[in-house]
Amino acid sequence: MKEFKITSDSITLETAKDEVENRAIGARSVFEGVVRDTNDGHQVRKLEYECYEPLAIKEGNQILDEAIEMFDLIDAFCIHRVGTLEIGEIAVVVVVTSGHRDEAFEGCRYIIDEVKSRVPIWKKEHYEDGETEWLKGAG
Amino acid sequence: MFSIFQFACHLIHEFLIECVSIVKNGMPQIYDILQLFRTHERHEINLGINFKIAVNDEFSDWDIELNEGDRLVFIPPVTGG
Repeated sequence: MKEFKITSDSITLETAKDEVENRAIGARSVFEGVVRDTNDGHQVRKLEYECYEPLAIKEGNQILDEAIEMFDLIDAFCIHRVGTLEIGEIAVVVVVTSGHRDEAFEGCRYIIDEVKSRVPIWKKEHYEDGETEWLKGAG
Repeated sequence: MFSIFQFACHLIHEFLIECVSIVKNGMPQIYDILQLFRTHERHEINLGINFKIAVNDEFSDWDIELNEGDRLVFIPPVTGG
């Protein structure tokens, strides 16, 4: 079922995949965003995400609606973590299903790009040297 | 009553506390609030360009008229994903 979720619990690929309509599909595309150990020359120790939840849920669902409409998807789902994440943990998962592979790839790509540029979520990096920084978005 | 406004992110949490104390005496509109922000250049924020606003948890235009009890939230550039 189409849904955009925010969670403070660990995300697993298997449970995310089960959230979408998987019957009568020809393709399923999955994107995972994972916490990286470096950014902009810094060694990153962990990440902290925070979110303005009422608006994030609305905007996230709006993006899923757009993708379903634009790419003729059967279903779309996205879940984003908040709180503290260690290196290698999953920060975000997008799952879409469709009749054919082109729509699945394109719809999945559209959703993650729009989520990154529109949904009110922010990340703070904790570095190996003990410093921390809220990242500045492009606006 | 007064319009509640805040930033949606701890990025500039200290700044929020300063501004709320000024707003309590009236009901300024968004551009009055922006005027106030311009005196806080140390935050390196260009609110007009980089920020969005939400009124009562809906994205909104900058020229919206605020009513008593509205919840105005400034949304800094996002960095999720």
